[in-house]
Amino acid sequence: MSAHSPALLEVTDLHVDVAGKAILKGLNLSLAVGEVSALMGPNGSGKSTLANVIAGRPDYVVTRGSVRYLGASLTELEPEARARIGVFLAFQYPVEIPGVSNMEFLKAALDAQHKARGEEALSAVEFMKTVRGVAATLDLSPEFLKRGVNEGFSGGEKKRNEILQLLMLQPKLAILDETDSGLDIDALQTVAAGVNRFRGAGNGILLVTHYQRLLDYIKPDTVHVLADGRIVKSGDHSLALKLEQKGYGWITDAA
Amino acid sequence: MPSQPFIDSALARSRQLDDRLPLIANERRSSIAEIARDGIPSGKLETWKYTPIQPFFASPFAEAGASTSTQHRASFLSFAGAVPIEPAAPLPSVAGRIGVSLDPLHSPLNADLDLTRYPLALLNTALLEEGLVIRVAPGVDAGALDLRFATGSGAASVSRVRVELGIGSRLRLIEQRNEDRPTNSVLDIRVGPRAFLQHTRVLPPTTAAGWYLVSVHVEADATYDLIGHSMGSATRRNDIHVRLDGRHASANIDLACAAHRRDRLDHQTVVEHIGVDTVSRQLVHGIAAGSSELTFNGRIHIHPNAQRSDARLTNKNLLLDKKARINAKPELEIYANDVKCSHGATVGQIDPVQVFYLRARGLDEAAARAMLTRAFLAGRMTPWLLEAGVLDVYAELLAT
Repeated sequence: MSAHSPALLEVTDLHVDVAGKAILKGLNLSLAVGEVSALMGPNGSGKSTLANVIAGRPDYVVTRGSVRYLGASLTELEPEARARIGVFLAFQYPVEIPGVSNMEFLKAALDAQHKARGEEALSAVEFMKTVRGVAATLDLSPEFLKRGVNEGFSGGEKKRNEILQLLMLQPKLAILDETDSGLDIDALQTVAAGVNRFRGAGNGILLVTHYQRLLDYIKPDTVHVLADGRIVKSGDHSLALKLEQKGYGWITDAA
Repeated sequence: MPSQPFIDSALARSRQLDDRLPLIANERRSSIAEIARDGIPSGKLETWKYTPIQPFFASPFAEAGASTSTQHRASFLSFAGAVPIEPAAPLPSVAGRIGVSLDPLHSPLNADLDLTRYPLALLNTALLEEGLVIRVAPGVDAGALDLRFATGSGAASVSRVRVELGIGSRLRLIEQRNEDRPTNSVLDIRVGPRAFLQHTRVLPPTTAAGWYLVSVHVEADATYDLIGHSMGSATRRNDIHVRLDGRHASANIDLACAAHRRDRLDHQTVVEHIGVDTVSRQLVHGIAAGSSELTFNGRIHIHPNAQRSDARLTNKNLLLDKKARINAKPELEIYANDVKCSHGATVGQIDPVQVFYLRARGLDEAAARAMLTRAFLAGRMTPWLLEAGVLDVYAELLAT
């Protein structure tokens, strides 16, 4: 990659308020195309806020700083516009939508993105074939596709459903917000395998997580530690291992 | 008092209609005399609090229209899969359906109706244009019957259908209405002992005013199931009155409705538990968009001897716009001491977190809201309703 090509994600001096309270307080972060970065940190440090603000959650207010995606500012764009240019957030708490089947939802999302990019929509047959194939790799049965979106799904099913969407939509920037939380070891491996299948030279992944456990299965290129709304330490995978042994105290106290 | 010109034109119109339904001529005249004597109910009627009754006692209901021509008959009746037939006199036999008969209406028409509560049934009697009696013989499973009301030539559509199910018989009644004219409609149903009536009705949007009464008597061990869909119109009032007369009689009422623009859509249900061990379920879903006003009044009335009655009523509403209005009023009236009753009403809005989830996958806000609105009604669809495109009609209505 040329040194002059823009970063996939460039967050500069980002300040964000949620419900009138300052959560992010001058955050800087960069993610290159082809890079997998883990974002770690204690509860309440602002990890999920960063994930949501990049996706465009309406009630999260950017008061200062910028978020650039492939060189262009994201902050003025509607959430759907971000999704259509390749930004994807795997939700920490995937939303239940009774009355809309998972299949219908996936097709509508895919069609909307194809249309916005001037691409041809998948035919119903192609779509069915693709989605069934991808679902099978995540141990999700065809029955699962007929159920309401996340309706009555177990925690593991909800997270696998997020990865199904990731694999179907093929974004350039994937932000996985605590996708490992609430997963047993088998489900964790299934989810990690899905993410590793997605991982490639043309995209980047920001893994938001509490635990280093996930990083045994998805090896990050870089690790950032977030505390009180700022990145306080960055390093490689060894930083995550050190955090697991020593906790966050030694970093956050020093910061 | 109704205006004298209205009474005069109603009288003239009723005479004009005598050829069509000769067996009720006298009852027409006495109904008009009653209307003239009692007057139009005042605007203070509790049951007509949100919807004005006066427009239903006015022209064009009493306007002269086509009198005896059968060419423009408004209602059609057919058994599923068969060619539509007209209920013209003499009524044809129903080919291939042994045990089903179609007969002309005859007096007395209103023996099973509560005329105090439904004064518009008198007007219906006086100005009836279309009507017939459908009977299913004891023990017969009559399959599906398609009852359609299409645009006719008259200024208004005034119709009545009486349905009688014999002991242990079964019928699926599919009622589809496309009058697109001011309408006064009465469906008078008697479900005999151990009989089962499954009634599906679709009232698509129209610009005209309409009053629709469904009055049902359910006898011992019999069941009445209603799946009703109703879309907005200038003024649309649906009255549904079910009497559970016999022991173990039951009723399931599943209604959905949507209104937009300046529509007024008003549903009033009354379920009377008269026999012991009777069971009723009411589930009503409503959506109000634009500047519309949606009203649901659901009353459960448990009579003194109706011990071990089990009645439930749930009303769920979705308010889509700030200017839309929802009036939800469940009522319980209980005179027996050993009963199970519950009722509840909710009014909600589209969940912004659901909207964000869909937008984060690339759907624009309007598409996300439309999908969530559709989802609110999706659970109310049967395969038949989906096939008939009813969910799409709702979506189209709410998109404008």
